[in-house]
Amino acid sequence: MLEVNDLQLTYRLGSLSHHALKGVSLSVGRGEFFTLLGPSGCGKTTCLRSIAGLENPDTGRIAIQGATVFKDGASVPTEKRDIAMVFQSYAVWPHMTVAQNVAFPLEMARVGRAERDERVRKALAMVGLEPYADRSATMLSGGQQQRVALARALVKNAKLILLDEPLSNLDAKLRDQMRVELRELQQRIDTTAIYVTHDQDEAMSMSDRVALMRAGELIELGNPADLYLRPRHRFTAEFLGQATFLPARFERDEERGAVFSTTLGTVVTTQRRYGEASAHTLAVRPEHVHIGTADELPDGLDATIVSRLFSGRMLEYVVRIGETVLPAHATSRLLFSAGDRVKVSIAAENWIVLED
Amino acid sequence: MPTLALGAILAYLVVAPLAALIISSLRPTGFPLDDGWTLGNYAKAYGNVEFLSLLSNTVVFAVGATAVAVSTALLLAWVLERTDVPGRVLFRIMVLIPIAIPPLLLALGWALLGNPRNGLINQMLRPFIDGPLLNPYTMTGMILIQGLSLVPTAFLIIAPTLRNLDPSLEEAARTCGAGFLKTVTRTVLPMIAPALATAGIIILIACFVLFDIPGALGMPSRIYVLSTRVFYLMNNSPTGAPLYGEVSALAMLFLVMLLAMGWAYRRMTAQSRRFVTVTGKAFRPRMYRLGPWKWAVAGLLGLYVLVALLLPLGVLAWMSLLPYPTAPTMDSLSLLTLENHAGLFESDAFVGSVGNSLTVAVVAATLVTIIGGLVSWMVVRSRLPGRAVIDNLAFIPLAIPGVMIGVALIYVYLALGSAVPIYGTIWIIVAGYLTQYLPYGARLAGNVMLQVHNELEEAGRTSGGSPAKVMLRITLPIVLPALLGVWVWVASHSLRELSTALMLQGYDNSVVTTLLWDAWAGGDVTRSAAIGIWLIVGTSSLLLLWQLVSRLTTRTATN
Ligand SMILES: Nc1ncnc2c1ncn2[C@@H]1O[C@H](COP(=O)(O)OP(=O)(O)OP(=O)(O)O)[C@@H](O)[C@H]1O
Ligand SMILES: [Mg+2]
Repeated sequence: MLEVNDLQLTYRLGSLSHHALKGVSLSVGRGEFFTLLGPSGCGKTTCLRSIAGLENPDTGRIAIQGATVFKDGASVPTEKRDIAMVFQSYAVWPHMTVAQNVAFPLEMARVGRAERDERVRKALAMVGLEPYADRSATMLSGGQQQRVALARALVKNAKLILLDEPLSNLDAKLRDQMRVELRELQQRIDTTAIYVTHDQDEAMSMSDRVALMRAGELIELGNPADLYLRPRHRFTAEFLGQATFLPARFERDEERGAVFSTTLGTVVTTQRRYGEASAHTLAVRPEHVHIGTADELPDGLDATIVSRLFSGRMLEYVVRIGETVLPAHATSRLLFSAGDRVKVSIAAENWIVLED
Repeated sequence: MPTLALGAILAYLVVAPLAALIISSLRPTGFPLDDGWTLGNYAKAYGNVEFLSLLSNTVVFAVGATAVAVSTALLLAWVLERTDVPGRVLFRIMVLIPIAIPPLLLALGWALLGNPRNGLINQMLRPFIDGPLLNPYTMTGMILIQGLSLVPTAFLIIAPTLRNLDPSLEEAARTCGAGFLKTVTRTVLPMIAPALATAGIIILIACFVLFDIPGALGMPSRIYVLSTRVFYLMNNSPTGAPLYGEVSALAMLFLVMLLAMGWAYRRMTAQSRRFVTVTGKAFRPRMYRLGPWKWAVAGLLGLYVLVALLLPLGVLAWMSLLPYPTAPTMDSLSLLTLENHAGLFESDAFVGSVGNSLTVAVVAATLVTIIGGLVSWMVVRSRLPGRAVIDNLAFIPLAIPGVMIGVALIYVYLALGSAVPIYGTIWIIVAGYLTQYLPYGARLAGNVMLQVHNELEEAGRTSGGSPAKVMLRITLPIVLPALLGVWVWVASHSLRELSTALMLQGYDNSVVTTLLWDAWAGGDVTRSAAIGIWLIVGTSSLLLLWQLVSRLTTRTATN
């Protein structure tokens, strides 16, 4: 559906230059909900705009539905690409009504009057804005404008929809609601979506696959569960949630996975090490650090509770094992207090072996 | 392609006059198309003592008037934006009204009030003090009056900065134990410094090129600044013939100086523009309580309004209603008559010049808006190659005095001759205004473009619209109301412009301002006062109309 190969882009502003895309490659399948995720300034928008033809990369190749739209500087103009886009600022035209906004792409495609009205009506119905059709676009709330922008993108029936942080200007509740709606819509009309966000929750909950970017580079790509539970890179592990990192030395390979020695003693994992190096980093997420009494976890490591933070839904402990301090999240099933001596255990499959 | 077309227009409007000026300065006869090269013009222009006094006069005048304008505007802005002085709303309007008043009329008003022999104020004070109290026909007079006429411009730049100053910054300073003075000097001043510098340099440039006030007040007492000197050499030179070459040579130094200032201005505004962020954070500015002082401050504000607006306007209105100039007394009340005004509308010269003025204003404003809109779109929005060149070309005329644009156009259209036979018609004035107001038009339109988020246009492209379609269906409708503001600005400035029109005056292209100048120079005080009143009626009704229209358009936008 979408192929991006080795995209390079440098912004030049007088004598300043900024290498915004450093060889980004990705491949997105039909009907996929694909998310570009990364910290602010990492080049997500630039990548998306390049796909839309709003930015001109230096080199590389972009193909949409098998048709090359960009190759090493030669570019098909935006309006000739089979795409639709939702902008972060909504970009709802203030001099038009809601219906006129949505009708514009059809006018540009020279769709006849009757069909146009029908499709506009359908698109507005899809986002629940039918009653507002004749309102001036400036008289809508942020969430409603967001829906107008969405309807305007949907009405075209483009095979590829690009969305640049479409929910970031909405309040938290509306955002949660729109996440679900957006995902449903995308599946219902069976289109491919490229979604840009810097919010990992959003990315994880909506996407089929997520590409993680940092400073113009694509770091890691995969489905949300894999990226969260089996990240290869420290950056991924950190960006997608909390984690404790431990330096580790490779000991030996066993049947289930590699064995490392760490400050917590010998650690058995269910993964293989990367390459031949003996120095590695292991990671573990706080919710995988189990705390229990000596009865519950007789084989656990001896630990002391350093602090406790009650946040309702869960308990955030910090425990010390020997010289190592690590956070541990638990349900409110058992209450320990600072200073309590407890046992801690971490399952082999919850240890993450990192490549860097 | 669009770059080339726009480039050609700008070359014609900017490069051709500039080149004519440069070449002319190197020709023995001073005519660009004549033979021979020489540096003699430069020797003549710079190699005499008069040049030094001209230079120092010009600098003293420009710096002095700028200082008056900026410091007055700063005080006014602070008092009106940040204190609880009574009548703020009314005073704010009164401070801005003079924008509609041509500076020439301010000069005439003060000439009538302060003329050493028969100025009204001097006459009235004669019983109490000997010798005239005021004399506007001096350097000090010119500086003060020019400064006053530029206060609204400076106020418009400075006031918003003071208004938008986040009070928490000041409060933070005060909680750190800084007293009032420390707070002002350490936090407020540095924060408004960019606005002050911007206002200062743009006004300084204006003071170097303005003609009206030094022309009306300095020339009669032979105090010349650059613009009036050029005018003098062209029209009343000692030898009788216009000294083209010498004028051009003289122009060069100032051109270089002004372009350097213009460049500095651009650098400053380019930087500030990069940091412009409207946070949308709502706050109430911190208001300083004046306490018992507030009535004294209000009194001072009233005095300012009297001096900058009511007195000069009042004296013009008074004179326009009299058969001959005389002081307002109980006796002279019986003399009041509308004859001057009636006479104007019966005179072909006046009616013709009104027609000319309106034609020139409408055509120039329309063309400047179109060209300026295109230039700014290209510079701000497009990624077309060559846009930096276009940007710079469109900026240059800002630094060229109106009299010099006049001179340059004389060269250009004398040279073009029958190819473009507009010499001596109103169209050569239109051409002059196009060049002169292009930088402002492009700037103002550029600000408009900057307010339009580029995603609005990009959404048009991703909706399948070609660049031309997007321009027509999206960009243009959105910016149209704001472009109307540019149109009004250019039209009202064209209506009140004097120096270029004066330089390009022929047999039948007189406009209202040149008619007024001639009447004044001919000593016909009451007639010039009457013309002046109608000029003000014209410029202010234009601004009023615009206010109405913009009020209406914002209302429909929010409905
Ligand atoms: N027009 C431009 N000129 C110069 N530099 C730019 C331009 N647009 C973006 N950049 C720079 O390129 C980098 C990537 O920008 P981009 O907008 O793609 O980031 P992003 O990942 O979308 O960030 P955010 O989450 O903040 O939107 C940033 O460092 C930015 O400063
Ligand atoms: Mg972005």
